[in-house]
Amino acid sequence: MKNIRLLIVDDDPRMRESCSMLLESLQIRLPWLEDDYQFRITEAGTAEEAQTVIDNDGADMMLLDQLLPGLQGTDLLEYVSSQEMDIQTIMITGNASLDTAVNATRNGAAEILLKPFTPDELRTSITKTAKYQILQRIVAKLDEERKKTRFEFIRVLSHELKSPLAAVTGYLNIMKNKTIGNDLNTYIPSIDRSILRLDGMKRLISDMLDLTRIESGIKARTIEEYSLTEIVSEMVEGVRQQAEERKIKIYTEIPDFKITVDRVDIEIILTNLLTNAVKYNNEGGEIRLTAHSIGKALKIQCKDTGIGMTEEETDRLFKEFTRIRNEKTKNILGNGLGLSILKKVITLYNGEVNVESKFGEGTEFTVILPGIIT
Amino acid sequence: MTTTAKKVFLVDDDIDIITQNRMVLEAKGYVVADAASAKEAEEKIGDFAPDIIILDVMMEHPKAGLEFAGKIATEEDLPKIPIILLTSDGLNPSWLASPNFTWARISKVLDKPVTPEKLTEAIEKILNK
Repeated sequence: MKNIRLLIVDDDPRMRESCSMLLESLQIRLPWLEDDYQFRITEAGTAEEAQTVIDNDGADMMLLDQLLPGLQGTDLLEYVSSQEMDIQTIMITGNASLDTAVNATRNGAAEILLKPFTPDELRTSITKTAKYQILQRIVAKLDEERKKTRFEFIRVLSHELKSPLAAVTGYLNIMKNKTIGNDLNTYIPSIDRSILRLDGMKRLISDMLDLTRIESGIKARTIEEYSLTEIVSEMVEGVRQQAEERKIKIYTEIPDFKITVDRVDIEIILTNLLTNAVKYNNEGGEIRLTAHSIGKALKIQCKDTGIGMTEEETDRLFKEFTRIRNEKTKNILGNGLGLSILKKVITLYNGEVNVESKFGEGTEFTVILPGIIT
Repeated sequence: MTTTAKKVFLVDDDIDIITQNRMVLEAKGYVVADAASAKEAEEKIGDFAPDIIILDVMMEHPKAGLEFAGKIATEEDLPKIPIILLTSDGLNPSWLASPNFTWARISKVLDKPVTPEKLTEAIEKILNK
């Protein structure tokens, strides 16, 4: 149960008392929120007294009589709005002049309640205003969190972009200073590494665009029928050279399914599985890519004989910019976005991805895409 | 250089930063060893017994380097060696929240990428103190 601090401001003690009694037991419930809300009530007999309460203890809502001795209800409202306080106010007035209403609304009153009012009218008005207040605060909090997440994403992203720049600048400085002599040939490995790091940077930029495009839903998708074996053999061809350089064998067992998908989506899934299986494999290792049908669902499994992961490492695998950093991965380039993109694409199909891995022995990814086999 | 070669320990998870700093320092006559994580650095530091450490900050986790620096300052079985922090993150304000002892061994903070001159100058300055 959460509290809403409600301040009742009226010079008539019986009025304050009866409102308090009516509202004490009122509970505000929003169907999708875990907690219910109830009112913690404070009373004040004048605007001056109310101002002291607000200044010292604050308030979330106010039930405010317009006609008060000394300062008027609208004066207090003006004070609240000048201090930019977030207090939702219901103005009570016996004199429903247009002027009062306009003035009160201009100073931020959420509702005008005409005297005399019934208990039900009071409850309805309070409930409506309280719900608005709760929602408004939740929105503000979400917005704050969104900003923080975005900042964190950009912070890590800029680090990932700065690293290759630092590496390339470092090599250029070495060449400029002729640190290891005058023969250009001795610098070829540095040049090769620089090209590799710049390629990685290019890849990071396009991955990041893919990721944000998928998240925003802007990515245009064309769902058509394709032959799974054709797509797989094209994707295997794409990693062939990389695999052969390290004597890694790729075996595939793919039935000739017809699948209805967006071509780019299925390519993202297969390339990610295959490139990871190559990158994190040992020299002379194997990759086994298989497909099965479970009804209309497609189950793809990609198993490698690579370096594997510990349980703790598999747990955080799909988070953005997660890279498993250890002795065995220090020579492997990557940006830590591939698997979060893979997961997001799979989610578009209401599918799932699971990983089983043993450190030092290998990893197996299982992807299930429901309803795509035709 | 003095008659006995000084030993520099490069700790960085970026293999290219290690490679190029190794090129620069070996050309200047230093003996170099490296580690790709704070964990690996802890394992290697005892045997290598470096005179100075060039330390990255963001490695296996965002503050791995700072934690390692803190351990060097406090743990008895780790040798007390001056450290140069080498980072692409500038002087990140969130680091300042790191416990005081972390800073005890850090002699200098350098921004990545560092020029060969700046790196060797910083090392020489600290070793000749």
